[in-house]
Amino acid sequence: MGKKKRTKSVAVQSVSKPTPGRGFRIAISLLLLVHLVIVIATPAAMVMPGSRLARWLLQGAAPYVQAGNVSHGYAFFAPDPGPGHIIEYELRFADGRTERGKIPDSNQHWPRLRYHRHFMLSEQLAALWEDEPPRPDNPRFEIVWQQDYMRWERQRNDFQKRANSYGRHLLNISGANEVEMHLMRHHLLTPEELAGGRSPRDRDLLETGEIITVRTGSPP
Amino acid sequence: MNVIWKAVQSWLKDVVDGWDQFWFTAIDPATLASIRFFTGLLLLYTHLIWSLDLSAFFGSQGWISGDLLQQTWEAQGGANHYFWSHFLSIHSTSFLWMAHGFAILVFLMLALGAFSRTSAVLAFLLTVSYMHRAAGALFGLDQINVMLTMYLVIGPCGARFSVDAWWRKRQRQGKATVHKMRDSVSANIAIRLIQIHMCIIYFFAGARKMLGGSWWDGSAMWLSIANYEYQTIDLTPLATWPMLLAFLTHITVLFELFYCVLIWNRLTRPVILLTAVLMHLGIATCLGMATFGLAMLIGNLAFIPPSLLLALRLRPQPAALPQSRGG
Repeated sequence: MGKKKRTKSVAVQSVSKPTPGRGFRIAISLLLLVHLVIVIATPAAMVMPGSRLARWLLQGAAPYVQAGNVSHGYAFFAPDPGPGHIIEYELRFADGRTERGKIPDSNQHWPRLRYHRHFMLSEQLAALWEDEPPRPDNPRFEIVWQQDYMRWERQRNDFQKRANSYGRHLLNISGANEVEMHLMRHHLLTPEELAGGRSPRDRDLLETGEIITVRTGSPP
Repeated sequence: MNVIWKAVQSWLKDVVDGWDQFWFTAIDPATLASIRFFTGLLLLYTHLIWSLDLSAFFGSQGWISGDLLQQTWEAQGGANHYFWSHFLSIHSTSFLWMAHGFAILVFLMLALGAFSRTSAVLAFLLTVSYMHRAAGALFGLDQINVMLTMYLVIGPCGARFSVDAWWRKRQRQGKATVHKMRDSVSANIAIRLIQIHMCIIYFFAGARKMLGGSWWDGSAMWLSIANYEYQTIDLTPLATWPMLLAFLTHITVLFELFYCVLIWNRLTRPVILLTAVLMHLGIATCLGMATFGLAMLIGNLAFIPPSLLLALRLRPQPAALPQSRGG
């Protein structure tokens, strides 16, 4: 009995391992330094306009950063918390029937994590949406405008592809022939508007940003 | 000149000693094991929720089609990119469910601490693979999940509070050998990496907020709680307390920017940890991101010393424990 007790009390005791050898410590230290430089450089490269040094440091680290999913910007509610975005859609079937839905839908997408996944679909599509940059009247700004326009065109292409992918998925799961998606921006109330009796649920706070129509067999 | 050289040498020796002590001190794996348990549970929950829309997010005809995902990867990393996901090799729904079932089993094993090192490696690979495939539906939770899982691979995360530990103890019962729970250098390295990574996350979260005007004028908290899509608890009546909202806005930025400094000081650490708990519970309950809030709190666990966690165990210890270092 007494022996058993003694064994138990020793079993939880902690003893330190001998300190690792110098070679081991140097090798591990180098690996740690490389890892930490990458972990710091990835968000530093993402903050607009992005550190040149961080981008240079990351040049050879693509295999590690991409394969290990180390690249994150940690921009939580930054730079400013903005309006929310939802997608309202109408499915049109061959027999003339229509069905409406929205992404995210708190009644359908439950529990909350599931709702948030769908909310991110509409938010990340909205992040690609931007108005076409207006052409300047002054020809001196033409070159700057052209660069801006090319960037917008690439982003517009990404937006269109993603929206089409969403649309094709909706057609796929519903069997509909056509889907019309409205990307809506849900504007935020000011404290003054709230005090004046308005509600965040007011329909006029929703502004249609873009209408995308996808049909069965349409190109991706 | 000789005096200066000696001073420099002495300083360099102090730096090397400090570095060695910081990284290569053996500690009890209790903190890492606690992180394993909670991360495993969170991963299990996160991936069980994916089950509700498995084909929609991971099937080839999902919200983000396989073709679009490939194009996105090429746009981000060029033609020879290193993004990957095992889901792109799965083309039938039954295989998709089998792969998902295997992942759920791995996350359950990680939480329970069964074959811990193997399940930690598999959990990390699976978490990355899910993240890569589910591009378009990710948020902060996924970033923290992958960070925590990556570091669990490094240390003996199943040395305590696990099926592995229970099994080892059971195997040794009745044998003459006396088992000693060994402190571990790799447990310390894993914990240090989580600690530093948490500092980096908070710092950049704060730094990126400094680019926005609303975090300076104090209106950001209002903009966050007024967002109807985020709301789980309606805090808009706080509109009548603009100074409180401004105070909370500034505290958030200050906390995030200075976490990386104040968390290392013994006197300020409890205050910083308490602020983290309050902030993340607030985000969890009011802004509908309970999982993200919990993930950040699990990361903060890295700053709780093993001795405290062992003292908090429900089962009373038969003898006084020697103080474990680290944390």
